[in-house]
Amino acid sequence: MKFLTTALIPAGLAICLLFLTAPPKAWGTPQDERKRALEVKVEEAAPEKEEEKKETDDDEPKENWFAVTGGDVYTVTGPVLRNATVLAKDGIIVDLGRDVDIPDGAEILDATGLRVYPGLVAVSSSGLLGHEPPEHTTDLFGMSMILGLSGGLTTVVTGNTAAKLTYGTVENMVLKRGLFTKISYSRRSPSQRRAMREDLEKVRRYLRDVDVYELRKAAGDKDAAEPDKKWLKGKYSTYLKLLKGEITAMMSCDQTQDLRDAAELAGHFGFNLVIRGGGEAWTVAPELGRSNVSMIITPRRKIRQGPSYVPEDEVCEDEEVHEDLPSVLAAWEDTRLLRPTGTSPELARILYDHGVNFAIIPQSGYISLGGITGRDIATMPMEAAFAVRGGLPEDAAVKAITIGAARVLGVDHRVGSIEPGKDADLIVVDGDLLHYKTMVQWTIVNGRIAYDKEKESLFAHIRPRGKEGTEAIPEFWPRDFGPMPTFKPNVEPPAPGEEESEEEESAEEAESEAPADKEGSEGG
Amino acid sequence: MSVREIFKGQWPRAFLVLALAVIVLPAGLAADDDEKEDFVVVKGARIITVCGEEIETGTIVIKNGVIEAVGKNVEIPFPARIVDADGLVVLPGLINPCTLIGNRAYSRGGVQAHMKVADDFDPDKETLDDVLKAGFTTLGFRPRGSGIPGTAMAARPVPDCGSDSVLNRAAFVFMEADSPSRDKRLLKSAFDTAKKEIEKQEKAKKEWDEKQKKAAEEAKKKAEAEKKQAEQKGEKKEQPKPQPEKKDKKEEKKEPAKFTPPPIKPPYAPIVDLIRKKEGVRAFVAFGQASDYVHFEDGLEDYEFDHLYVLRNNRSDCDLPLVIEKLGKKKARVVVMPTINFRPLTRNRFNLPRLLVEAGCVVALRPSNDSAKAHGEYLRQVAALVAAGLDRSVALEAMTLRPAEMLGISDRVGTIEKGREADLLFLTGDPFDLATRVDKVMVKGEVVEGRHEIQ
Repeated sequence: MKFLTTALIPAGLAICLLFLTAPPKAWGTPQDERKRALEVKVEEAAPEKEEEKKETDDDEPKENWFAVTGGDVYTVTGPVLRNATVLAKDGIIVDLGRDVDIPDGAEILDATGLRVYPGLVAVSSSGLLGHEPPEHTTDLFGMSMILGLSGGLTTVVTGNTAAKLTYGTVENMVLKRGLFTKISYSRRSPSQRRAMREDLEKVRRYLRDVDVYELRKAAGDKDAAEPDKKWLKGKYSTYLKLLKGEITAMMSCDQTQDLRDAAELAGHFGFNLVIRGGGEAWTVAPELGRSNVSMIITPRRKIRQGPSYVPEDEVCEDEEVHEDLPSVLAAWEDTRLLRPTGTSPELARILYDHGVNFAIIPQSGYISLGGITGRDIATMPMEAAFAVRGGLPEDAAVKAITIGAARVLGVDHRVGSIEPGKDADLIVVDGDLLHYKTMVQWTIVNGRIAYDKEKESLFAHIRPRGKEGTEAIPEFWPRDFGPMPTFKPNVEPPAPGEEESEEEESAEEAESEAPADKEGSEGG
Repeated sequence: MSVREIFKGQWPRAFLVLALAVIVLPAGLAADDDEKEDFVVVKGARIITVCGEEIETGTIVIKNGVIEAVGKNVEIPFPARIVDADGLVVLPGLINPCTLIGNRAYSRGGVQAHMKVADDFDPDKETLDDVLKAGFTTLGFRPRGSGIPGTAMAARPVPDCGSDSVLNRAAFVFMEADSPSRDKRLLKSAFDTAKKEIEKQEKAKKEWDEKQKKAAEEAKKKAEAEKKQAEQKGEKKEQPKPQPEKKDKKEEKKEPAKFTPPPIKPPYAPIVDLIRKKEGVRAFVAFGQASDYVHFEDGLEDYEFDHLYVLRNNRSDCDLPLVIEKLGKKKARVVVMPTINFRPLTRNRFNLPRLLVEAGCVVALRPSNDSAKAHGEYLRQVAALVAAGLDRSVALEAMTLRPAEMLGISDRVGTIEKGREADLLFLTGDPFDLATRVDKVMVKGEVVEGRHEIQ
């Protein structure tokens, strides 16, 4: 440890930042973080040495350098670097700043006047990738993948696996498997609750026994007996991993009492818990913050306000509140209902104020091609912007769809911010990420351009790059047919095939005039 | 029973029989030859040879179903049946390299590469008749099913020809890669199993070799010991000993020939042949989307084997141009359908065969589905491709020579040149003129379809 700390001191500001901005409780295992820190150190301390190596070893496989230059780099975990360069090697960010030497042969993306953000992380999605395992089932050129990339997403979740939208390839697709273990701690079955607490207690006692045994063994106690571990099977092995911090628990609940109980459970046993939903979480934010629970929230979501059971000791008996209520509610004599319920646009702000880490996802995890635009996963920044409407600071809203979401998934050591040592997953946008007018110009996944607005036909026509409105839409991907040869007039009586030739010509004419018409569709 | 026993006491008669045989047999043989020399001459047609330049008004001489001579000024043999093709265009019979049409066999799933279409071929004669009328003289009958359902057969769609119609009993191993979630792991596991089978054989061979070495060494030691013994004992008992030794040696020599490798699981045998790059064994990999190709490459990146791609571009929206660059770099051989496709979700058209040719692929065409109607419209569909920029000669090759090469039968059919079998298609005009119709079809020198009779 001593060596580690002394070695880390000269590692530079970026590492300090990394540690400062690290979550209060690391989501990755301690070993992971140590490894990560060491990796960053190597890359920070010796970029010149690497270059020297590169010059001498010509036989090694070619390194892929990629640089985004001239943009305002929103690192998310650090400052905003104006007119800076992000340099990536083989899909990993190696350097960042204003005076970055770009090696020869690097692919350069000019982002002058644009903003560079880390790729967005969707903690819950469906349909963007295939089912599990995604590297076997994904449609790598699928429309939903392109739509996801056009929305700035680079990391999504399919089933219980976090994976990237690696357009056209399966390399480095999977980030993490086995994200969450679903647990249920429902008020409706007290016996289940009791059993769960007992089991967790049993496993915790076992862990303490192991600690005691190891201490005694280290002290040279010969009588120390290793605690029995034969019973650690099935649910107990899951609980063991949970209490050791190897896996994360996931729970879905909305109501105050459920949230309070879940927070109490996670706080009492000290395991990683992610709560999905959390409609009424704004009422219990202090408890959630204290027990280090992470939330997955949807600011624009509403849940029905309704009566729910509140234990006797928590009954609100404040007469003044009663008097202020509208007459309809006031007529309701059951005072147990007189408490804050329902969803609030301030949810995200209140959670933020109490130090709760949260990720924002839209109402629909799909790319939905029907319904109201802007509520599906293709427009995730819109959802974050709504949280800003409720009082959340803008930088916190951006964090909630990048590094905060990465922390919820436990992949914040690889994605979620722009830092040396992290994966080169970037988006280049033409304005404030949270503004409704902003469009993603490029999406970069693993140091490779996965989406280019001008090259995909989806949004190329909307505010084309370059001079606004004056520049013609560049040539699209299907190449021209070239000039169509005309057929010689036939001497023989016209056969049914003749109609087709006319159709071809008319289709061609129609194409030059209007892009979509009946003949065109029949011609195929 | 010997000859002597048969002709006991009948020598004069025997002599007579022999003498007769000597006189009659050569004459009979000669007579047979005369009958077999059956000449058919196609006169006055414009000949698209595919392998060389077009002949404006040429003659094809066919001897016993095989083309004897092609050219402008060719000597016409006598006697010969004349097919007057004045004003017609002759080109090699069309070949569909991969189809289900006319085969009513059951479908199979999983890995069943050893199952041959040739073994359970159940022809639907009426459909095959329609296909023949459309000008197709050879079809690659693929097995029906998913995964690796079996080995295909190349045959003529003339059910009455019997075994004569089969050109290649094992034309290709068919593989589905259309649905990565289903096929990727199946293909990978099939190849992994085949690899294990090869390793099993190699291991057995090694063990056997070691055994042989040991046995040989032991034999040597024995021989030396015996020699020493003999030297010690003296020269008296030398003579009887060499004989048993020789026998031993003979037995040892026989053993090497006896080595039989452990048998390979039959369903994997063709895959083993593929990995071993056995000549004439190839695979057709069928898929419809760009993503399927990437998954296929990813799943089987450890294996090198002779394979080509069957692209299913019959849906109007098609994203295959996204992998054209990769296919072109590999100089891949592809079988495509003659359709003009749209870029997904747009009305932007493109000519996939042309793009593939320009990228450097070897392209063969096939009708856009397995119906007789599609076979009938085939020439007009290809004409649309040519109108949209596909090179004319490439299109002609893609319909005849290329599929023949892919089926491993280009030494028999696919072009009009000396030595090829006379599978010809007679058209009323240019193949890419939309008014052109099929006039008649000739298979092995015999007109099997058409309105004109042989004079």
